Amino acid sequence: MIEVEHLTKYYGDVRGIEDVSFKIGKGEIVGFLGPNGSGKTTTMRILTCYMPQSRGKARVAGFDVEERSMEVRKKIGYLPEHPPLYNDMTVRSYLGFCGRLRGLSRKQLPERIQEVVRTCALGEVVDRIIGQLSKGYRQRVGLAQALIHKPEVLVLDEPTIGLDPKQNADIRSLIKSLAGDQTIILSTHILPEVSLTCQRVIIIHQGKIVADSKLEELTREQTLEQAFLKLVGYEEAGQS
Amino acid sequence: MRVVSVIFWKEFKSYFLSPVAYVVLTGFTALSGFLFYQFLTYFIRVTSLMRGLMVKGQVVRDWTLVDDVMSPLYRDLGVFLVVMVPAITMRLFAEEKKLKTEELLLTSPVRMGSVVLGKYLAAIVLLVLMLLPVGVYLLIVLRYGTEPDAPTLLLGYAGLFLIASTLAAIGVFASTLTENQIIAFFVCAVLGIFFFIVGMAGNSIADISLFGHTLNLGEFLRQLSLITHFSNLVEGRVEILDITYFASLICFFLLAALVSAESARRS
Repeated sequence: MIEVEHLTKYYGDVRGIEDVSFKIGKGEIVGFLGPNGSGKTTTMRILTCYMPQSRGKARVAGFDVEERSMEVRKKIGYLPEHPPLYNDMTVRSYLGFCGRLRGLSRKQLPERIQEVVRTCALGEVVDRIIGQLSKGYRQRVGLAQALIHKPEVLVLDEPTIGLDPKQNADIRSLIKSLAGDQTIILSTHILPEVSLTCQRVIIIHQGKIVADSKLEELTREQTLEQAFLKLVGYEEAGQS
Repeated sequence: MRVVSVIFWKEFKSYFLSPVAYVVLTGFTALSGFLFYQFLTYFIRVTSLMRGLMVKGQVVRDWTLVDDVMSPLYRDLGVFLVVMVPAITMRLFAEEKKLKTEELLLTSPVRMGSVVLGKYLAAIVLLVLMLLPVGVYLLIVLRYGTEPDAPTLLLGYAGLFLIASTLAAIGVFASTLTENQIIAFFVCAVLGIFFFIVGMAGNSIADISLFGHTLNLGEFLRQLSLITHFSNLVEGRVEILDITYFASLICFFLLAALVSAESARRS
């Protein structure tokens, strides 16, 4: 579903990611792991056609992100690190706006809104102004926005950041419930989250992939935390 | 087209969800009403004293509603627009940047051109609403004035819409440059004032020679000024050149806005 080959992105002279390659099959849930600033967001932004890569290729559902950008954008639901919410709109009108932007017809909207509101448990706040919602609700509205057009691929950038444990668990079970129909790639630096939701982990460090394997394989002889710290070179950093 | 209308409705509603529309509409109506009243009472006073405009004891022209009420009103309102229009356009893109909602637009299957156009149209419709009360003054003059020059009055009124549309295009562009609405406001106001006054330099600049051709730089600067073309309309003269001028400025700044909005991808 997602094919990335030798993807490289430079911001001026600063390296964002370098030579990143991976493949994600249909229906997989992949955890994208890495310390802050390791290139998770950069990779996701290239996949979602937010910005162009410097070198390399990326395809989503068979479409190249540069050449067939419009097709790719239709296939993807994207929750950026900061949920893109308009504070003066109600949840309902916001979801309607996002649905229309993604090409839903006016007739399809009420049904789709109803469905994502149910999936994301937004029933109580659907007619409230977004600016008045708590962080947990805002995050869920962001997720609902990404789901509104039934995307084949879901890209979630740190979906659980800043949530309390209860909200965290809610989002996790929500993501799990989506598995199967949708290919999901989610980034995080919270390790337990990965072991609870994902089947596969890609660990990225300083813009390069340092591990890409099934979760069981990675955690056979050590905990995920040990594996992660070893891969991102924690010992060296700890000594200096 | 679908995207243009989706963006348009979202932006247009958003004007009325915040205080912006109410403040701007009230402010402009109050100021224009005050001005119209002042020009009208002055006109009534002065017509009872003298038959026409006097220079050294000679009447050089008669008082008319066009020259002495509506034209000055239109000119002053044109200047007001330099402050009003940026207030309306400043948030269009700056707020998207600030709230990070730009990322939503840039990753949705929509062309940025449609987004720019939708936002521009929302500003235009609000400006039309803002300028409608001026039509009431026009109607008063047409109804109660003695032999008012209707075509000239209507042209001047149309000129106000053209000025507003041009400034709105500049404002949309200014808004794409920054996430700070105050900066967007000032960039638009400064560019607007520049286009108002650039013609003044025309009188003090000599012709320049370039590769054997003489270039009338003064005339060029005069033609670059909004005032020159606006004055033509207010005085009841309209040429293709004037309309082309407004249309090209609008296109230029909307294209600049498009390029600038797209460039967010490269930051």
